[in-house]
Amino acid sequence: MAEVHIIGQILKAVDFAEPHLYCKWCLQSGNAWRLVQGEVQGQSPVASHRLQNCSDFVQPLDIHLSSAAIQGWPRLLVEVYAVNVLQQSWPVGYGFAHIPTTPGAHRLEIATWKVAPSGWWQSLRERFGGGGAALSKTDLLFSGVERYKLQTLTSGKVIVDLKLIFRRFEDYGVEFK
Amino acid sequence: MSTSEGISLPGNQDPTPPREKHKQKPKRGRKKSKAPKQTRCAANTMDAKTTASYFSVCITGQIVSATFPLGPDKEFVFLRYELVAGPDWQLASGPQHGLTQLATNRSGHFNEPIVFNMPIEVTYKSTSPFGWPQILVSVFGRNGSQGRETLLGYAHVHLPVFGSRRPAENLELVQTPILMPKCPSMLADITSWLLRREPELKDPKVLLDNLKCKGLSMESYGSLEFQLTTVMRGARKLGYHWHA
Repeated sequence: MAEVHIIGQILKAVDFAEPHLYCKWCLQSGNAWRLVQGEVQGQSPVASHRLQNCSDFVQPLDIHLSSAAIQGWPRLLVEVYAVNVLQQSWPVGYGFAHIPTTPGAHRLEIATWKVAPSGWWQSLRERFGGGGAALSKTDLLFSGVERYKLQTLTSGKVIVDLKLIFRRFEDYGVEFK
Repeated sequence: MSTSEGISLPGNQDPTPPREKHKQKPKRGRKKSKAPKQTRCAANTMDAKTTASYFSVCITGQIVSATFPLGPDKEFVFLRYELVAGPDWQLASGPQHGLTQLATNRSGHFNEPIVFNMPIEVTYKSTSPFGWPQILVSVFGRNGSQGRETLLGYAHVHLPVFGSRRPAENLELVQTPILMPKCPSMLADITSWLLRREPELKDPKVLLDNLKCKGLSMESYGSLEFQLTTVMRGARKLGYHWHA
């Protein structure tokens, strides 16, 4: 079985409007992929910066997967939530990126989107009432099936730094160059 | 097949338990000096019964400096670093903890980097890249020589993975932000301001775990710069690819 090691960090989130953010992430892969060691989901602490408008999550990633097929290449899903003074949290960014398909060091920038408020009441609630709309079915994040009903706004970016180590792919004839 | 020659690094202790040494000696038929300066990598090709195959990673470098954009909160700053690795990893040589000197940038401009120049030289032996070692640094500060030491933050980064960066990038500094824990509630904030005590994490390794750091609140201010390079041995034979 071929093996993939993903070692890295979810570094920071930039260009978001809210200062206090935390990030919930999970790694999904197809049926032919098995998790050998590591955790495929996590949540970072709430982070803010004293001077700039970014949030340093520095969430370490260390995952060991073994695969029997190339279909279902793993992808990293990221949901960024904002927290206000009353400790209420709401999502301000959804995004995903496929894990790169070549070994080595990579820096991914995941562009995120959030659900657009659909009227003036929704936008008022977003500013003062502890949050706007959220997705009820989060599998819309990675499937393209029912997205045409959704209205979204562009949100900030999440920067992820990954180093990938592959093993035994060439025994099965898989090439990366 | 000629396998393990010792890597000689100064100050190494040979950490393999005495039982393992006896197993390897008669099969080698070579005289290995028992001087503590040699580290022996337990290559397995001679012994068919032990199927574990090791690769070893030697990391050399330094914690260069700490930079605070508006100056550090306290006059003197020092660091305490710790190397944390997964269950398959064994520290073959080098210290696992360290404490730096008390450094300051008082005489220069306030946002100049505070230089530590703290050497880090460790060698790890492992059977799998899972649990790649990370360096967890706690930054402390002190006002003058009689002041109390308070926490200024934590920083952690993975040690460079194999040699995955391009050679031109190796000379650049790895920068990690310094995160300071904030009080969990407003009452705790007022109490800490009155008593002049900053919150500290009881076990900073919580920051390295993905699920345990859920409710924490951190503020980032300042960054640490590292310069680290790796030399590895035996990884390509085990079939690992880390270059594009």
